[in-house]
Order: sequence, then C-alpha cells, then structure tokens
Amino acid sequence: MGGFPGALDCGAPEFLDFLIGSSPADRQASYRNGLDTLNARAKKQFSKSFAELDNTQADAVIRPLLAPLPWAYDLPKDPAMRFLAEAHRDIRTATQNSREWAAAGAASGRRGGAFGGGGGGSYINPIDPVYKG
Amino acid sequence: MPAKEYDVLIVGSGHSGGMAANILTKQGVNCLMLNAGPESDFEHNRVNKAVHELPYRGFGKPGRLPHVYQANEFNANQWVDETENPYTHDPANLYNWVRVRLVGGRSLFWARQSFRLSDFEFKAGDLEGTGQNWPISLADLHPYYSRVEEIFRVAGRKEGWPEFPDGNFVEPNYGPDSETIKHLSALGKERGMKFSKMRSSGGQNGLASSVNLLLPDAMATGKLEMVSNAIVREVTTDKKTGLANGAHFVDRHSRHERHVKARAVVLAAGTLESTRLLLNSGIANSSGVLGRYLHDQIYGISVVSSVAEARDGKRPSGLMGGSAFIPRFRNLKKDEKRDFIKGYCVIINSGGSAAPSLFAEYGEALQKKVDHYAGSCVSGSIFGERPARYENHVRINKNVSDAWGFRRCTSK
Repeated sequence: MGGFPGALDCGAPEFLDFLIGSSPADRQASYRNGLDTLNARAKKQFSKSFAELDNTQADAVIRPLLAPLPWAYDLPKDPAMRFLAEAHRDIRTATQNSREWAAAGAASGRRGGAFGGGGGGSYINPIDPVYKG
Repeated sequence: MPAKEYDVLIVGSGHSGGMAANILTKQGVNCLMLNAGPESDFEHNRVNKAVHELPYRGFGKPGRLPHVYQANEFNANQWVDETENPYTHDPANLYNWVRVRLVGGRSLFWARQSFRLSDFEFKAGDLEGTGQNWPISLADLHPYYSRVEEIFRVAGRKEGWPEFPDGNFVEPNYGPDSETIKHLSALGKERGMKFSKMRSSGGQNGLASSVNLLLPDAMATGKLEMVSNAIVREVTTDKKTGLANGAHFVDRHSRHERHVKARAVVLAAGTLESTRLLLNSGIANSSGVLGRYLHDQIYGISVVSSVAEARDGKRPSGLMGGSAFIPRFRNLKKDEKRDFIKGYCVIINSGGSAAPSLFAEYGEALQKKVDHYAGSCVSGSIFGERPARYENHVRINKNVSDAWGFRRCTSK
C-alpha cells in the first residue's frame, strides 16, 4: 500500500473488536448481522465461512455489496451494503489512525493520508471534573 | 454574589448574550450574566496529541455524543454531555441538537461565515405569493449589521448585488483566482450565476467569539457581573404585572438553588434552550406557537468533479485551488417558473481530493483511485433556506430530566 502498512499490520481487527464491544447495542447488532450476512453468502457460494475464503472468493462475496457514496453521511439503505460501508470506513480509520501507520509516515517523510490518518490534533482536556470522559 | 436587584439578567454568554451585555453595559445598565457551564481557558486546556495516543484512535468514546456530527475524540470535551443533558426525538425523525455549555457558548466554535440576509428573504411572501413577509427589511437591519460586522471584522468583497447585500467589510485577502475558478465563473455567468467570495469573520488573535470580542468591553464598564456554572431553572414573574422579574437557578456543582431579581430578563441561551426555559416557566406562550416553526438550513455536498489535467499528482501551477461563493440565483423574479420555493447558495472549493467513499473499491485498488484523483477535485456544496412549518416543533418531555432534575426537550 505505497509504503504504508495494511489493516492487519495495524491491529485494526483487534482494535475494532474492542471498539464495537464497547459500543451501543445498535452498532453491535449492525456488525453481528452484517458478519452473519457475509458468512451466509460465503456458505451459499463456496460452502465455507467468510473467514475461510481466499482473496478471490472473498472479493466475489464483497463486490456486489460495495456502493459509491456521494454523500458520506448518507449510507445505503440495504442493511448488508450499509454494514459494509460502515465497516470499511471503520477499518480504514482504525488503520490510518494507528501507531504503525504514523511510524511508516514518519519513516517515509510523507503525511499520513486521508481522515487525519496518522496525524494529530489539539486535544481538549476535560474542562472540569463534571465532564467525565 | 450580592443579594441585590439588577437592571437586566442575561441568560447565556454566546453571541446573543455577549452582545446584549456589550451594548447594555455601555449604556450604564447593570447586568448579571448567568452561564450554565464553566469558564474555559483554552491555553491551559489544549494539548497536542497524535491520534494514535487517544484511547479510541480518534473514533471517540462510543455512544458518548451520538448527535454531534462535528464531534471527534480531540474535541469531545467541548460539547454538552448528552448523558447529563438528555433530549429525546421520534426515532424515525432524527434531530441533531448540537450544544456547548461553556462561557462564550457556541461563539467559541463556529464557521465564521457572515452573510447578510436580503429582502429576497425578508419579503419572500411578496416574491413567492406564499408564506409571510418578515415585519422588518434589510434597511431596518442595515445599521445593526454594520456594527456587528465592524466588531467581528468581517472580510468580504463588495459586489452591489441586491440578493447578496454588501456589508461593512475589512479588506479581504483572497489571492488571485485559479484557472478552475475562472473557468467555472465564465460557465456560471452564461447560466445566470454570479461568482463572489466567502464573507468571513476574522475576529482577533485567532478567535471570533463573545469571549474576546464582546465580553471584555462589557467587563471594563464595571457594570457586568458574570456567574458561571449557574443553570437557570425557571424565569419568575411579578404576580401583579405578570412581567419577568428574575430567575431561579442552581449551582452546577453544589446544586444549591438561588433566586436573582432583575427588572428585565434577556434569554440568550440558544434557540432551543431559551424555548425550553420559557416552556418550563409557563410564560410567553399565549399564542401557543412557542417551540413551533422550528427550522434550520439545509446543506450538503451536491457535486464533486475532477479536472483531468490535475490528476496523478500533476497539478500545473495556478490551475487548482481557491474557493468561490455563488449567491442565490434561483427564484429571484416574481414571474419565474418555480419547482421549489426559496433559494440556495453554492460554495465552490477547488483543489480537494476525492473521498474514498466515492468509489466502490477497497484495498490497493481503492488507494490507486484516491491517489489518481488527489488534488484534482472541485466540489460544490449547497446551503439553502427551509420554510418554517407549524408541525416542526419542540415540546417538554415530562418523563425526561437532566442531571439537575429539570425537564428536557423533545423534538418532532
């Protein structure tokens, strides 16, 4: 990926497991149902679970569910396509906002890419103790 | 705080409360300002961090600010805590209520775009044959606009177009137009569009807020007292006259309740907080329309296009970059054929990149697309006026209270 690490190298699966595990019920349900749909499609097409597919097979399952989004806040109505759009965005963000991505950016002297990837910002501390992070 | 009577009680410290304090204290009026939140010292409260140092890699704590789409993990602490200050809405009708409870309010965090409304908006009833005119016109507001523009140091290019009224501007610094902006401008002219520039408040020292532009002058008069962490529960009225004569408020930390007396009350707590206060106080609603006709602007990115000559990192110098503002160009004539009412403007930005979500791709193939279009894009976003409808309203939800036991709003 042009000198930048991929999602697996950046620990995106482990991080997303933690993030979704601490998320509200509707987001957990979206991931659970979405993964069930991917598994069901994989079973139907290749008689295997999604995780067992090779890249070509996984692509055959995923590609019909990909859709261009003209307006990033406006996700597809179809639940499976919606899940894929959300998960895709989450994976990219988790990857580009990782320590590994930042290190690769620093090493190559290039900036981290879209979504503030590998970048930084001005963090506002809790203003007073009543605001509990 | 001394137990005395003030001339004016001002609830809220943002643009409206700050301006009320600024103007009134200069006339010698004794004011007390109550702020629901704490004072914030951003010099002390800000610290630079890399995104991977944050506990949630920039995603923010899940479920913390579900309605604030501007929120991220860096700025999460500047917004109102939705668990302390809940509100409800019909699940089928999402309503995003974005709130700040700090001294300075939302004037600390705004996009600084500073346009005047025109008589095409004020007199829309005459123009469109439906709806009502405002009871005021641009001529009535002109001197007030001018004063605010001076204080906020609004930069703009004067055009002399009635649909895009000029203001009391400081010298703008736009730089020369890029070739794409010139080209679009020529194309737009053929279609009846006029191209101008953004009009933006420069403020001072990086901040265009009540805190630095309005409140210091008010404090300097010695006529303003400010109390932070004071949450107003109810506006009180005089039993004989029925007029507002003060307010009950609680201290945010100690939860002690107090009352303050004033000859007049200015509610400047934000559109919906001020409405909620009036509803919870049971006043100013003999018409029954309090909380109704709720409306906001619409906006969205409508078009993104790419300039072929600027793709693959080849950007000839002067081709890309810059922005333009196309003021309302539809529905300006009485006899114009309409398939919608009111109008919209378009903001053009040149030299951006294509969002990854625009492509039905992933992995290396997606990265290639993103790299291919990087820096070659021109986007147009629209901002439009929405009609005010009776059905769109907020009311008090008697079943939901905030952390201080006050009833909260629901929207529909």
